[in-house]
Amino acid sequence: MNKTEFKRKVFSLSERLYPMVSRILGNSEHTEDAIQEIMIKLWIKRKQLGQHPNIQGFVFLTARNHCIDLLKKKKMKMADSTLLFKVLESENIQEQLEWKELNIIIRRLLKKLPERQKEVLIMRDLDGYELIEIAAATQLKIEHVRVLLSRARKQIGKALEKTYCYERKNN
Amino acid sequence: MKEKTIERLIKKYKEGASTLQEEQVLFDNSENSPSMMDAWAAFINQNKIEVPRNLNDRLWDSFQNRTTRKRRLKIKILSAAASVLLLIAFFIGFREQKQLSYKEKEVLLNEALNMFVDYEQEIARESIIYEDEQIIIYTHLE
Repeated sequence: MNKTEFKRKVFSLSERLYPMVSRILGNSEHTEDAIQEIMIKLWIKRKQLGQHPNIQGFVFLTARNHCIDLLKKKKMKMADSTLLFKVLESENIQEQLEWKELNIIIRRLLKKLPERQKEVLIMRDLDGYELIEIAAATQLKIEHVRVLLSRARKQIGKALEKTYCYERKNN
Repeated sequence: MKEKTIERLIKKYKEGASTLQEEQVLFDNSENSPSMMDAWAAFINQNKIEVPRNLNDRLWDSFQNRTTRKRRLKIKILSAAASVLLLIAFFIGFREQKQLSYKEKEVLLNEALNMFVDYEQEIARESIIYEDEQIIIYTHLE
């Protein structure tokens, strides 16, 4: 694989990797550095990469493993950094409080989900990855990813419904 | 958006069978959805990670820099190693040149030995066989 081919087939995925890398590392500061390191790793392996049947999948897997290694080195917990929550900005204080509350509620619900389900749900709904990309990164079969996703969505849906029913009753 | 369409999409969504585009439609039209979907969509829209602009191009530039710099460094290290090897080779070659072969040594030794031949004969010709305070007796070869 030469440099032009590498740029087209591998390096162009940098933007695609960004949400996943950023979320796993828990901050956007080191995201670009991490992507750069991932790309250099892949560049070193370019000979094997050229013959790989699923280049994109391999790139996703390498990226996720690299991030997990980074976390291990820093002894950070993935569970705590999977979610990156922005401070919600709204002009209305009442609205702002509601947003905050919503965030806290959903964050709590996500924490209750099994690790795999949570990761798949976040990768799909928040980061907008295709099932095939999630399957490659997590080394699961697509059907398994779909099952995990469905379970997570149903679980969250049910829990949110409960919260809102409760609220409606109270109001 | 029609309620029925939304309902159908939500069902598909919960089965994990919807496409990314369909999901986007669902999240964008959440105000028509049941409140739990509305809440989830709001959460997603707020917590999406935005990819910085021109990320690919920016990263590519620094990637180019780093990979070519690495190659340059490699070349530097290799050339340094090569010159050290060259120096060592020269040194060894020079030392070998300084060392003489056995034949040359033999010739030199013989030459040196030949210098002593006359002297030895002289001694042999006039050696002292007795010596005290008054007399010294020499032998003399004729």
